[in-house]
Amino acid sequence: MANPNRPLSPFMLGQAYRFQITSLMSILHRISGVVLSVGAFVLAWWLMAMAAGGEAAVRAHSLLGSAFGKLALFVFSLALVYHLLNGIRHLFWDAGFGFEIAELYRSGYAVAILTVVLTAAIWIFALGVL
Amino acid sequence: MGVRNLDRFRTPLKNVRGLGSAKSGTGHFWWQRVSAAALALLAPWLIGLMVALSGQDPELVRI
Repeated sequence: MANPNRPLSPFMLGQAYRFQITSLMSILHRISGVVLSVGAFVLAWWLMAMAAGGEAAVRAHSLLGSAFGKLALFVFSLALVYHLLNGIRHLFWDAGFGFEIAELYRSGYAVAILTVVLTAAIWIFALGVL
Repeated sequence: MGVRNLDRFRTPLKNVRGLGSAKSGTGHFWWQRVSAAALALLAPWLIGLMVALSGQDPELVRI
């Protein structure tokens, strides 16, 4: 029988550990991956509406162009950029690079800053602000 | 450290084949990296396409 009072390793967030960017970015990578999975269904729905054309295409466009649609697209774009950049960070780890704590923090901040900059750039171009 | 210890229980043939108990772990690992690299190229393309199409007329987008 398992002892219900056995010692457990504390959860990565909470009182046990100080806040650190490494665990936060790991969690965000998972969350953004889930968002992208859901977004893939929306992408497929949009493509089908576009293929159907006519009324379906107009309806899909007005829905995605609404305030809610734009918000959803913004979240999707944010998740996509973050997951892409952090995924490249993961690929470097897979190749055996960047495991020093200082490097982990540097790449983490680089990904965070680039995510904000690139997502802002996407929306500046998409909305034609420039 | 862990890898070193495991090595002692593996025959050289097992190491050469690079197969774990699932028999497809190495292949899956590699396919994961290959598809990741492909997506790293395709995702910027998708972003560029979506940005270019944003605000366009639906009939124009279909072309």
